[in-house]
Amino acid sequence: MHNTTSTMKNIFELRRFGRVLRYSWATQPTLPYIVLVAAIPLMYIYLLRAAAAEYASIFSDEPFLLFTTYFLGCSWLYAGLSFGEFSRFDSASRFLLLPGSVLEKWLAKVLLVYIAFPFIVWATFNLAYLGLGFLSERLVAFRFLAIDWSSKEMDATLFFFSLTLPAAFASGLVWKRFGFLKGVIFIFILVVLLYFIVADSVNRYSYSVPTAALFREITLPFFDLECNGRTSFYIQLFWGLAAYLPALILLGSTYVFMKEKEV
Amino acid sequence: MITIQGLCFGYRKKRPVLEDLTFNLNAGGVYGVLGANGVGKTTFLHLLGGLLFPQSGRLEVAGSTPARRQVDFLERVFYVPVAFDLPALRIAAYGERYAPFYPKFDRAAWKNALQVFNLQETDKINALSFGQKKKVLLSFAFSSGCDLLLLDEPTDGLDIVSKDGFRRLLAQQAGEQRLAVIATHHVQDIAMLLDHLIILQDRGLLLEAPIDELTRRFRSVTTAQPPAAGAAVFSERVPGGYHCLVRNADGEEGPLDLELFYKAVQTHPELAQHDLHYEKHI
Repeated sequence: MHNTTSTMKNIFELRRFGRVLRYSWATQPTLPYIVLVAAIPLMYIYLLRAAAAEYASIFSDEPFLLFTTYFLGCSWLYAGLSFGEFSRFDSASRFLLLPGSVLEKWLAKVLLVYIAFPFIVWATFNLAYLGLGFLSERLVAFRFLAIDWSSKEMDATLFFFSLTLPAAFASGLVWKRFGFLKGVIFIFILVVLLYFIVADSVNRYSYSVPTAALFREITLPFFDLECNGRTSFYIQLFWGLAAYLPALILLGSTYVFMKEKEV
Repeated sequence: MITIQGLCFGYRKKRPVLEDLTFNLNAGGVYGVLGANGVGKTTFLHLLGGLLFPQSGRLEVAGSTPARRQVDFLERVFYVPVAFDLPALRIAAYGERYAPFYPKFDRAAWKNALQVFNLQETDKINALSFGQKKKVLLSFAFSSGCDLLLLDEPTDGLDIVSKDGFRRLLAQQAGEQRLAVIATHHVQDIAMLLDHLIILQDRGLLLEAPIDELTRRFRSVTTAQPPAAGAAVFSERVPGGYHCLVRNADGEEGPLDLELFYKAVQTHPELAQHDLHYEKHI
């Protein structure tokens, strides 16, 4: 009984997790927040130019594309810097020796990267968008078209977000110096490689109709598929597994990286 | 409290820093770890703290394996590194943030330590000098209630009065359950408080001995004339005479300059190997 309690104590304790979360919040990277706020005036200029080109209002997906860039860019930056303490010995040793379990420390980081920060980006964009729209309408008579937050494009954005974030998250752990930058290069190489593999597969399997459909629909599984229900199901299943499984494995591996981390 | 058996470690596989270390460190003592630059003193502390993992051998601290970094272990160990970075908080806020992580944290001791070091709780840490920041960290370490304190060059950056304060706080810490391991080049700063001396050399342990044992066997004397042949184990010329390490003929404990002793052992390693036959707790 004592051993079980002791083991549990070494794995997870809610109160201590609260403290670890508070610590992680207090020591989180500040650069993404600076970028988050600094991007707002640039966003305004961009939207104004787009609105001017459309004579009064935007009936295009420009604001959505802007949001996607803002959301993904800031989130990647945050994820890439979230293990910033490992770039320096003093902060790394402080973090590693903080009395909290590996699970608690890892979970606190994951919560901040996957929930807290994206929510802050989301809220900031909404507020800025509303504020900028209000200003534009009053000052220059431009109106920004509302973004459809429940669209399939939003699903695609979130899909891409959950797919690539673990790579950015892991990069800070794997590389001591310039983890984020190296992570971006790594993701870029991975995407290019993946593209060539898929393109090659499309050519190779063009004689087989279902397989070819599988690879042709690489525009993301959430977009409308022009094939029958069964093929559509398999395409979604394939891309769901192909995308989420490595992402989940990569995310899980960050836990192991953290556990095995030395200074 | 600490069991080390056949411990090996290297940053690269074929270039060991520490090789086949075997000895015990007992609770209730202050251990000084001496050695030349790069010999592995800091590495040794990192291994004890679980910041580095041994390549082979056994290392146990109070029944825990440091490399596993379990909460039970982390709550009992506090490490003060040479270089450190404290958050931009007021001292009081720093205490509030970190104290809850240490179940035995003593708030009265925290206030007392800050007072000893002449620090105000309202001071902003980022406005303090390196030495003052170190005093904040040392104050916290002494109040943490941790059983094992790992101190790397703790007196580095401290002024003369603060070194005195450090010694007082360290002396108050000494208890049956507690152990302090101090890696330092400034052995004179802590000489009076040391219970044991560890000297690392050439990837291994050159000496691990209780200070009592050393002072029973050796003492240091200053003479105006160079010592006669065979009269001193080691001597060095100092302004006004010669600083000599001599054997204690009468078996009584004498004043021993640990810096001189260290130099002697470095020059004559056989002093550590043949002259000391203390009981090892392995």
